[in-house]
Amino acid sequence: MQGLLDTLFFEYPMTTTLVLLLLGGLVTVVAGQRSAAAAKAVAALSLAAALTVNVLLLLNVYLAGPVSHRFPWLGPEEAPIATLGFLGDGLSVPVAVLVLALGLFSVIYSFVYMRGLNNHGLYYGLMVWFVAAMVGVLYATDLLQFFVFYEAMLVPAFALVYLYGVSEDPEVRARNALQFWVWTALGGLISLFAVFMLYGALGTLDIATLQSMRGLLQVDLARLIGLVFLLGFGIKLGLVPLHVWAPRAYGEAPIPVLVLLSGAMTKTAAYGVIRIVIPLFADVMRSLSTGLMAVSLITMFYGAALAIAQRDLKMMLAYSSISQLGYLMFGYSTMTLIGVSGAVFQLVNHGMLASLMFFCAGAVEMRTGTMEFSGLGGLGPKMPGLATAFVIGGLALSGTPPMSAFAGEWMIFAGAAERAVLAGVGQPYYLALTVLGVVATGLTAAYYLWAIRRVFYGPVPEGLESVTDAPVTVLAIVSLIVLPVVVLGIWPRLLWVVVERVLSTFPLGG
Amino acid sequence: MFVPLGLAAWLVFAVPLTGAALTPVFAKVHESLRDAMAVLVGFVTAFIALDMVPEMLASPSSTDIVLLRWNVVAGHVIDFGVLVDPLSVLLATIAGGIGSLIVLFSVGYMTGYDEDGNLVKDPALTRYYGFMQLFIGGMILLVMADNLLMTFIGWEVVGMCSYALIGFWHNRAQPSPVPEYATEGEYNAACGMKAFMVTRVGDIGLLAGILLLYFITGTFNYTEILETAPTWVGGLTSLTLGLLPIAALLVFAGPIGKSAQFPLHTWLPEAMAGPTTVSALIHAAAMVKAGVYLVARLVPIFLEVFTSVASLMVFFQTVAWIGAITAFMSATMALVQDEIKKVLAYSTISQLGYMFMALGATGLVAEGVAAYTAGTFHLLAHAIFKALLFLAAGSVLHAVQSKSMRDMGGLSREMRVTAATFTVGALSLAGVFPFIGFWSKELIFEALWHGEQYPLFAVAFITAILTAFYTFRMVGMTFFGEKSQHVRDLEAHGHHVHEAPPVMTVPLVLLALAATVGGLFELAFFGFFSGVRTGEAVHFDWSHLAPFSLGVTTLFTVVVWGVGIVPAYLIYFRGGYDFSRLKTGALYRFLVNRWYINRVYHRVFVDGYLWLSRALRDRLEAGLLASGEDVARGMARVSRGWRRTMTGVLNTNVLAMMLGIVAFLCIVLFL
Repeated sequence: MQGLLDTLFFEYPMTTTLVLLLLGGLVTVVAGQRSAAAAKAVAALSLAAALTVNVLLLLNVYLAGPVSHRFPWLGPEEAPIATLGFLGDGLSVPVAVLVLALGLFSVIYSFVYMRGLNNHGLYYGLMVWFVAAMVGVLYATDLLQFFVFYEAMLVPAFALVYLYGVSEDPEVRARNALQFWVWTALGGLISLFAVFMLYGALGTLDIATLQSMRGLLQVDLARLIGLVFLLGFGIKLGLVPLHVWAPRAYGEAPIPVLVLLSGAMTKTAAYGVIRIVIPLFADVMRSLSTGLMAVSLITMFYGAALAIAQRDLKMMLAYSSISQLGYLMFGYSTMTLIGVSGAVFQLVNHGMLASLMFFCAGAVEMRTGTMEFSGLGGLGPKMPGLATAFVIGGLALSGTPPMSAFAGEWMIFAGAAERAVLAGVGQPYYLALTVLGVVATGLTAAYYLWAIRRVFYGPVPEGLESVTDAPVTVLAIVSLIVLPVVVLGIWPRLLWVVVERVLSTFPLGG
Repeated sequence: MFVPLGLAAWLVFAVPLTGAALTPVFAKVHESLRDAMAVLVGFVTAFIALDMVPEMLASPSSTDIVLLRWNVVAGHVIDFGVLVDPLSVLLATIAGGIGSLIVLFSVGYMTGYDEDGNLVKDPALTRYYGFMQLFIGGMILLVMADNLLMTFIGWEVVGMCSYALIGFWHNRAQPSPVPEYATEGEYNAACGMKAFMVTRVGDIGLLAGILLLYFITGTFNYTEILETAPTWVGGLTSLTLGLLPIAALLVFAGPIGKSAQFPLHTWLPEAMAGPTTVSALIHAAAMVKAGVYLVARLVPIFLEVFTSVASLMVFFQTVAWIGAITAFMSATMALVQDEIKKVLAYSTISQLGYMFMALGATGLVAEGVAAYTAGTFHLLAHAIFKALLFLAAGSVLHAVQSKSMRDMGGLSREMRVTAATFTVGALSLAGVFPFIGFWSKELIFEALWHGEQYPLFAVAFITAILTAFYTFRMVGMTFFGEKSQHVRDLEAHGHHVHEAPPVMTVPLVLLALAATVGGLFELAFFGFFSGVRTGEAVHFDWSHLAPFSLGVTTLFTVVVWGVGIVPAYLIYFRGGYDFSRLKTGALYRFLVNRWYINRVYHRVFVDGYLWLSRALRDRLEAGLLASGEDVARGMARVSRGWRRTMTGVLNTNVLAMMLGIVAFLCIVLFL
């Protein structure tokens, strides 16, 4: 028994995680046909078990270095076309822990939030499968494998948005879900097209092998493939003007699903950029740096401007999420080690903070029945616990230390500043890009503080006099998110000690 | 003395930060324990800070102590440490010492009476004491940190606390003082947000500037920047040389915001919406002093490289002139305020302007060290007398339940201690001998006069006259002259105006004492900063710069008393003149509307931005989303049947998608 556990947890932890989740999802669906409680329990337990395995794996990575194993998949065993490989290193494991934790939180949050489900098994099973597919993406060592999981996660995601959307009218729900599916599938297919081009050129799909062969690629071809990849990932990240799928999908999805969409799913695209595009196409990225920085800046500003114009808390958060992913891309675009490091930090931060904010918004809705600003106000003294979490989250997203987002954001802007100093006064646009990047944090503060004022301060509207603080489940979840937000803000090295090892092997300047 | 320096340097901010974190825990045990612990934490902090002073007085030195490896990114090692030198100890003492008195004062001040006349405590005091301690801790962290990034962290912690504390009374249901908001709570919350946002504008420049400086100098650490100056200056190319003044100016944007200098001074008067104790903390001990501190911290570094990078002159000129413009502008605004706290607010802005004038002049005058000493000494002086004035004003507000000076008058009989201590503060602010403000202002005058900065001196001189006038206008309207209708009404209802309890008067007396004898510290300041490099000319003549010197500038000071105080005395103490005609004049309207700056900002930056974002939402985004949906529908139609494709696909919908993609590619490829 001991030997079996060792094998499962320490030798093949990634495979164990996936099998746990896939089977867990299946059992959830089956059990859910009999009893709602069983579905909830199985879903939560399988996610909790997977999370435990991955936390142990994270410790293992810290102490002993990366873990990997691969199985031949397609083609002959000695020279496979595609392998089924799993790599747990300082980059993939922290993100996997994040995704699994968000998955677990969303499922537990659903216990109190998703009332009136008629098929608990289906809902919770889809949630577990959605998480499973995302984890599969993170651990993939092979491009084909990466994209199989990448596309597969859309199936549960689409079903969740379609079946459990908030619109009363099924036709509206179908339309929004379809739009989400078409656009994100399109993003995936575009990237898949790049995978085939890459295979055609170099004859392998193994990411590590490709990284060592990247010099062999023709410059023009590399540029083309790199661009196609960026376009694909850009759609899923929601870079303006490719974000058109996001607002409707975010608006439609119920809060727990939205947390997985915004907090976790977009991270797989961000992860794709750092895992595939930056190591394989560093030169391409570098040559496109200024343009990408401009696109990211547009995303940051556009998202911020639309966020402040929303009448609804949920939609404000949705646009905020788009804007925040612009920061992330801005960090990548600087193509300096410090800027990319900041972006990866932001990846983790945004996963935590966007989810925190959505959870809070959902709790406000649970208690008041609305997320419209016009119907809210003065909730601070009535919901002190929730208000505290929301204010911390809002300030953190505005880049206020000592919260974690600052620990990432300063690095993102440092990347731009490094480019600006390298370029000197001869190319002042880098200087302008740096300053404008920081300006976006000010705009973020503007819409969050205004939202806080409108929701938590001032007089209480009629009908909300008897509102009480959020359910204990919700308060526990938001506290568990706030904790790492503050701890990592005070001492970011806790996270960086594992991530830095991976990033320093990437071909980046600085 | 009692605590080893290396330990004291980090305990001094660790204690209040820990106190802040534990406040909710203490509150769970008992309300009184929470209040007592806040006071205790305040005084322990003050003790530790004061404990470092004798060592600095005996031998001014600079020690850098690393505490924690904060992060290592891309080969950049970022350590978190503390820097113990006269400047940091001075600021820590101000924040801790004055902060502790303010926390003590709060115990008496943050109470009120319900309708039956029973003493009640503010229900949200846990939040209050927690943020007050965090505020003090953040400020001390800011000044003790040994590098720019950690200073920035403390800087933002302070900003966050000011946001929370200015908007502290966010659910008060009384009518708002301005028509834009329904309740006072909404107004208070809006003021807190305004403070945070306006200072944020400066912080944007600060962060960008810090990061640029980092890549220019290769380090965030103050000591290292100074020590390796020849190396990194030598490494500058013609392209990067020009970046240094830009970075310096960007960094200065931070102090402009935090220390409420023109053009980002607009938040400070609104910051009066918070409890008066918070105003005292913001104005005297923390927050606005942070900007002055940062400039004082960086000036020696820029002086060090001044000979190699002559373009840094623009930095010193900007600092001095921003200070001068602000000092004058806000002094004129203070002339027409009716609220006692507003007068004090504008006077703070104005006095901070003096500090920047002096610090900027460090690079302009031969007597750099005198200017530098003057700036930092004025910082100390202002901290003492402004804390005193605010707390005394708080005592008055507590007694008469109104903010307006028109509702006061003749209070000196009932509130003897408050009136006496307030007058000491006012004399100090007006620069009257022998109070601390006299010595610090005199030193600024000297540095500017002997440094032959006559335009700056003229502004300083005129502003001093205005200061003396509005200060004594305030004293007269509050404590002397006739009792106002409001006070008489209160007395008629049996609510006699009374002196504050000892928990409030003891801090007042202590501060008044410090304001009276504080001038003696001038000598120590010369000792502290004699190592600071001189500005333009290397030649340095001490003869007309002895500490406590009286000279030609003293004559100007006497003129200030005569021209400023005497008319104020005649008009507001004696009374009998009628100036109500002036209230319809254009000048009055211009001043009372704060030179219309505030209004223009609001129109352009708040209304304009909201208008723009709504236009984007209704026009651009609505169209984008619609076409995005069309793409989805078009694609769905494709999959539905081949027949449809002939007519369904090649329509504008797909065109829209293609355009989106092309736009993306164009931006990426061609920018």
